[in-house]
This record gives sequence, C-alpha cells and structure tokens, in this order.
Amino acid sequence: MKKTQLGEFEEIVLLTIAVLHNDAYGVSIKNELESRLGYGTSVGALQTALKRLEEKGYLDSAWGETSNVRGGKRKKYYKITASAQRALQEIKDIRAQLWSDIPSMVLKYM
Amino acid sequence: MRSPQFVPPRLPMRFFRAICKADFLEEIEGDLLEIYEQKAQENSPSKLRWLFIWEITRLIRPKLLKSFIPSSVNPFFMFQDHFKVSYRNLRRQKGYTLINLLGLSLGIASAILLFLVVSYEKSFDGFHPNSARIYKIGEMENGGEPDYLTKTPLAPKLKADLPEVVAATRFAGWDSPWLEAEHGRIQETIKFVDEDFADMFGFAVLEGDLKQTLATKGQMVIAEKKARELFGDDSAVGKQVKEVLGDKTWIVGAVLQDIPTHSTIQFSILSGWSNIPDYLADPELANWYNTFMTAYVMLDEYATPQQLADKLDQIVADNFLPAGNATSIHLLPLKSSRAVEANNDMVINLLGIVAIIILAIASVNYVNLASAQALVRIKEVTIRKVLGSSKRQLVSQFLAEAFIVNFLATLAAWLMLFFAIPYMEEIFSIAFTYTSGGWAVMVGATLFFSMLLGMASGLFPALLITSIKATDGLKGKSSNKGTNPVFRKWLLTFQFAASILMIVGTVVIWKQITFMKNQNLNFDDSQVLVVPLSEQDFPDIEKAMQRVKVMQEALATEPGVEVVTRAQNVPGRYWQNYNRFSDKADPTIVHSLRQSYVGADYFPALGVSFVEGRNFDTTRAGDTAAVIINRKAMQAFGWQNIEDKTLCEGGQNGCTLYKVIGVTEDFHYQSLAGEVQPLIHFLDNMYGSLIVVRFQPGKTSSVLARVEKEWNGLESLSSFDYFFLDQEFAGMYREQERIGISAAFFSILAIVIASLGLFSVASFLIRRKRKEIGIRKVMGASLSELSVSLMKGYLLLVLVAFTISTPASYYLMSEFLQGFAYHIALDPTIFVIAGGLVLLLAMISVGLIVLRAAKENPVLALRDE
Repeated sequence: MKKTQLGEFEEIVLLTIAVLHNDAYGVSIKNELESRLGYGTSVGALQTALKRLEEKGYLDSAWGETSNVRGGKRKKYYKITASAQRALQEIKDIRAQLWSDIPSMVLKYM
Repeated sequence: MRSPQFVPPRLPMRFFRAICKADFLEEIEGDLLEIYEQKAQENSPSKLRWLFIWEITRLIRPKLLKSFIPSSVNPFFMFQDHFKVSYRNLRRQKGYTLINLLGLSLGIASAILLFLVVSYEKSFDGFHPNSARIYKIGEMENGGEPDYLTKTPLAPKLKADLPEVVAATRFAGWDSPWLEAEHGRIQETIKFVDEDFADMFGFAVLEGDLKQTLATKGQMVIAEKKARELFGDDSAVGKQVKEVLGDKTWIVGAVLQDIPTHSTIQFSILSGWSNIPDYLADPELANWYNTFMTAYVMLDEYATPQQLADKLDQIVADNFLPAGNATSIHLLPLKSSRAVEANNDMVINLLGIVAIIILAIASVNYVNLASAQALVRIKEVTIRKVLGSSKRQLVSQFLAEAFIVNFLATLAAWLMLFFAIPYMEEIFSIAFTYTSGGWAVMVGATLFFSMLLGMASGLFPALLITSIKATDGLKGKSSNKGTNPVFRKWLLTFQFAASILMIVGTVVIWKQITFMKNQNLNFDDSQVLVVPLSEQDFPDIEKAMQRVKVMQEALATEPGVEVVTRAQNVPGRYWQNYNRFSDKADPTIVHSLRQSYVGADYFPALGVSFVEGRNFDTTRAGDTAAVIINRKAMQAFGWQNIEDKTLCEGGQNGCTLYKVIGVTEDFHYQSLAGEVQPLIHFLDNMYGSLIVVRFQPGKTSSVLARVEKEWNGLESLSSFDYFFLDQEFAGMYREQERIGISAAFFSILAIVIASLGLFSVASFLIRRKRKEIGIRKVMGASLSELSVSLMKGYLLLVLVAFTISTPASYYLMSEFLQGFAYHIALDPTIFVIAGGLVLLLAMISVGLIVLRAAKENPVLALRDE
C-alpha cells in the first residue's frame, strides 16, 4: 500500500474544500473550518496547508474573476484532485476498519 | 450596500508585501482584505489594527516567504564560490592582504584592549545590588572641591533624621595589630563599620552571618585569604583570634569572599561599631568638629541628593562645629567614587577616544585599499555582469571578502591579546575579572562586531566596483571616475589628521611628565633614606621609642650620615590631616591647614630653605609651643612677616596658642599635579613614625647596612623596610607615566597602521601610472620632476590634515593640561613637530614607491601589453 502523507489539519482542510465544492477559496474555507471546528485558524496556517497540499498534488487551483471587494484582488478557488479523493478514501477506510475492529466491550466500558 | 471601506494599516501591509512570495501575494492579500473588511464591522479601529498586525505576524512562515536568495542559484554553492574567489583574490594580492590583515588586527586588538581597560574602570563598585542608591559622604568648604571625609556622628544622624536615608554606615579604623590564631600570624588593619553595612553592600559571604557578626561585641569578619593564613583550610567561624600585643581576643563570626579588585572599599577584617578602639571613641576626635571619617549612606529608591540638599544644609547648621561655618555636605554616587579616587575620568575618556580613532584608521585602510583595488577587478566584475550576475550577487561577493578579512583579523587580534593582556594588566595595574565563560562571550561579541565592521567597510568598495558600467569595463575604460578618488582623499586626510593628533597628545603628555619631574621641588629629595616605624610592632611603645632615640644617636656617628631625624610625614606621604587655625590678633581669620609633626632637624635634612624666621631649636624650651608654616600659609593669613604672630589651634572648647617661629619656602610636598597648599609643622622629636636619614653620595650601601643592623636591635615585630625619598616621590607620577606609555604605544601603533595603509594604496595607484611615468620619461622629465609630480598630491593632503587637526589637538591638550596646577605651555613647535613627522612618514611611504616607479626603464613600462 502506498503511503498517504496527510496531516490531520491537512485532511480536514481537504474535506472542507470538498464540502464547499465550487466555492472553496481562502476566506470561505477559513470560515467553514472555524464554524465546524469551533476555533479560529490564522490565515498563515491555512495558506501554508493549502500550498503544501497543492505541492503534493491533492489540490488544483484556478483564479476567479476580479471584483470590487477584496481591494480588487482575485480569489483563488481550490478543488480537490483525484489523488486527494483516493487518499481521503484510504484514510477513511483505515479508520473504519480500526473502528470496526475495536472489541465492543472496550467502547462500552470506556 | 457597500461594506465600510477597510483601510489596512500601511506599515504592516508594506512589510507583508515585502516578505510574501510574489506568487501568493494577490491571493493572500485579497483574503486578508476580505476578512478584515468583515471584522471592521465588529471591532474598534485600534483593536482591528492589533488583530491585523498579529495576523501578519502569523503569516511569517517559511512556506509563504519570499526567498531572499535568487531562486536559480543554490545558496550553498554561491557562498562556496564567494569563499573560493575571495581566497584566490587574497592569495594573489599577498602583500596587500598581509598589510590589510596586520593593520586591521592591530587596530582591533588595541580597540578591544582599550575597551577592556575602560570597562574595567567603569565596572568599579557596580557589583553591589544597591550600588545605584549608595553614596559616599563628602564635605566641602565655601563651595570648593569636596573631600570625601566627614565627621563621626554624621552618618547615624542622617539615618535617624532623614526618612530618605534608609541605611548608613561608617568605615573607619587604621590600627593594624598583629593577630594570631592556630595556623599563623598576620598584621592587618581592622575596619569598623555599622550594622547597616551588611544591608548596603553585596560582598559575598562564604560562611556565617555578616549582619549578626557586625551586631555582636567581640566578633570580627575576615576575608577568605586572611582567614586561610590564620586558620589554614579549616573553617574559621566560631574560632578565636588573639592580638599578639595585649590580651584582647576576637571571635570570627563570618568569612567573606576576598574583596574584588574593582571595589573602592577595600578591607580584610571588619568589625561592628560596638568594638571600636579607644582612639575612635575619643570625644576629642569623635565629635562634630573633626573631619576624618569615611561614611556611606543608602537612599530609598526615589530620593536624589539634589532633593536632600536643603535638609543636609539644615543638619550642618544645627550640628557642625564651630557654629556658622560654611561647610556643605556632598553625596558622591558610589559608582563615581573610583573616578574621583583615581582622578582618571578624563584619562579613561581619552583612552576610549583613542580606541575609536585606531579602529577608524584601520577600517579606513581597508576601505581605501579595497576601493583602490577596484581598478584591477573591473574586468572580473564586468565578466561576471556579462555572464548574468545580478548586482546583489556582486555586492555580496565583495562583502564576503570584507567579512573574511575582518573575521581573520579579529582572530589574529585575540591571538595577540592572549600574549599582550598579562603585560597590559601590569602596566595599568589592574586584573581583568572575567571568568573563562566571560572571555568566551567577549570573543564571540567581538567576532560579531567585527563582522558588522566588515560589512560597513566592505559596502563602499562593493558598491563602487559594481556600479561600473559593463560596457565601459569591457572597453577597458578603467577611468578614475568610477573609483571616486575624492572620497579616498578625504579618508587619507582623516588618517593623517588622526595621526597628528595622537603625536601631539603623546608629546604633550611626556613633556608634562618630564616637566614635573625636573621642576625644582624646593627641597632636595636625593640621598634621603626613610625607615617606617609602626607602634603596633612594639609591646612597650615608650621603651621602644627610647631605643629608637638611641638608634638615631648611633646612626649619626656612622661615616657618610649627615642628618638623622624623625617625622610623621615626608613629601609624597603627607596625610590628609587638617586642622583649623585662627590668627590670635584677629580670631575671625580662620584657615584650615594641613598639619604634621617633625623632628627638629627635618627641614635641614630635606634641604628646605626658610624665607622668614628660623628652624626649631631643641635647646629653646619654648619651641614645643612653636610652629613653622610655609609661604602659602603666611599668604593665607595675609601676613607680611611673622613678627609677634601667634596661631590658635582647634576650636570647639577654646584653642591652644602656638608661636610662629619660621616660614619655609613652598616645597612641593605633593605631586605637581596639585598646587602647594598651606602647611603647618609642629615639633616632635620622639614619636614620628618615620626615621629620616640624609647621607652622602656613594655611601648608600654602607649606610643601609648600618641602618638595618641598628633596626635589628629594636626587636620590632615587622621585618626591616625602607624607601628612598626620590623614588617614593617619583612614584606619584606613575599614573601619568602609565598614560604616557600607553599614549606613546597606541600613537605609534596608529601611525604604523596609517603608514602601512598609505604605502599600499600609493603603491597600488602609482603602479597604475606606469605608462604615464614611462611617457613622461621619454619626453625628458627628470627623476626629481617626476617624483614631485607624483608625490605632491599626497603631501598636500598632509597639509590639509595639519590645518584640520591643529585646532582640535590644541583644544584637547589645553583641556588635558588644565588638570595640572603646574603645567607646560602649549608650544607651537609641538604641532609643527607632529605635522612634520607625519609629513616625513608620508614622504617615506610614498617616496619609496615613487622612486622605484620613476627609476624604471620606460621601455619596460611602455612595451608592456
């Protein structure tokens, strides 16, 4: 099995981008993350994760249209790639496998 | 609806734009603006600003940062290349590299050394945690110079009366009894202090309780070294110390670490005030009249001496005797007491200036040489440019070179210092107190500093060279335009001016020292042997003094001995012992005179002449109530002669009358740095603590042997000790000589460094003129014409430097001479000599090169292609 290199934060970012579908850009990702995680992240942390994911080939990006807000700066939209999909699936499977293998009494008396 | 416009803070935004990778800038900036437009609705502008700054701070991540090294070049290889090219270049120019390194390392070494000396002097008394709040008490009369001595009851009084004074201690005692314990015997002065001493000063306690010991009767505190002499390696606390003479015993209560050399408060044994000996408790002495006590106060955190001035004046008015005197109390910050004691504030500042000048001269050498060399490296730079090197890369190449040279020079400097420091400690009579860790930090700090220096001195040549146009460089247009000769000329001028300044300084200092040594002292200090006696050395003082008297009579019969007498003080060793005297005819005329007791033959023994009256005469009964004053004292009382003049000594309970029988010439009983002060002598043939022997030239060894033989008959506890008066007196100029030696040393160094620099720059530039010289020769120019045309530029710079530095050095030196009561006049020849010397050195440095260049066969120069 090929090793999937995804940190926890990176995984959540990828999933969030998938959730946002066609509307995933810096600010929307940040807002979505904050509402789901319940705590804020810095622009720096998010951008670092995005750049790293893009380098690993898990994200595609494309420039949006120019608008009047954002000081006239374009948005950059992110989309997850097929390999990201595979990687996420793999992680999910491993986790599901682990969950199903936990003896039921462990969960009961935890 | 438009959201309220958010204007991002300008500075953080600019910072962000400067550091963010260009590819990410638009996206991230857009995101930031969007987020903060949102937040602008919920937060106040000032809070928003801080949030924004915090956000920017958290954007500083390696992933998002711009690369500051051109991305196409692997930084490691680039630096490797820098080092390689620098190394080759330094190797190719061996001579220049050597000169550069030598000059720089000498400069750096002397700067470090002087810095060490200066910081040592400034480090005095700084180790007490409360150092900034402690003051030494001084008194001044009629607003004159303060003396840092005061009266016995003052310190406790200040603490009791002024809430601002949180602690106060006296520090007194001058008896040095012989002490004995199980392991050994020492003679040591016991200093008596108040309990507060323990709270005020931060001397490290090794064993026992300092405060408790000072509060206990019969206990003493000993410094480690003396404790070891008394008790060996055993613990001293709780043990007994016995005074050898008499039956007094002490208990050791605490042991202190040895007092650091950078403390102005020096002692080996301390005891609490409750243990003071009789002489300190004597009401004749310990009153509001006699000023002889050293004392310190500690103020609370907010008080300043200025605030206390009125209260202090009130205390003087209420207590000081005699009433109505014009004394005022002066509080001297503890940290300043070293400068006052050693009287070297100006010297230390001077040394600091010298350090900076030398460093500047050495750096200027580097700048000069490197920019002169630019001429040779134009081709290299041009080729690099053509091959696509950016300006930044080129500059960093030259900076790397400066950096390497400075780094090596600093290492060499420390190597030199490693050998020089022991000598330096001896010359300045100091001991640097750094630990090995402290030294490591020092080395690190200087390396770091030298790199900054390297950057600074490398920047100018780097920018100069890289600013040459590639097209010009390729065409071989190595015009002088690019190498800025004007700037270089100013730098050379600066070096000459600094050299002249330092030569003037050295000459003036030495002339002043020689002047003081050769000045007529109004007494004859040669052929005088002095033997100190100490009361502490004899079990029975009366019997001992009888024996000394016999010894004096025996010595007088020794062939070669001219006069034998006794004295309390001799020139160079007059105590700060003052008393008040009033004119009996007009008791309102009161003067404070320095006093001393001398044997009847004291003045003849020293060859002091009388301007009025006569010497003491033991055959006249009245002479025990007679005094001899000096000319200054007579002037102070405004007398024309001493007919029927009587002085009244003392003040508080009536005074004692003394008839003035003679006035001596103003002989210099202290260093010529100070004016001769009024002086008064009483007659005392029995108890003077010095035996003074004047002998004939050539009899030194036989007289000395006889004195030692007689001494052994005295059965003193101390071994035989003596000094010659002329040596002792010359010793007072040791501090000045020390300055003189260092001034001479460092100015020679500065001049050597500057000459080296001039030599190499000139040889470089003149070599560039080979063809010009060749053509001139072919056109028939003579050797002397050539030399003049090549040298006149440099000599002109010396003249400019001379005009600049003369007023500066005149000003500095007259300030310096103000510190001496008797000083030389600033002779214009000193300046001329200094200027001439620098001119001569410049002529030699340049002349050597010029001659070689001018003598060359023009064919060789012109054929060279």
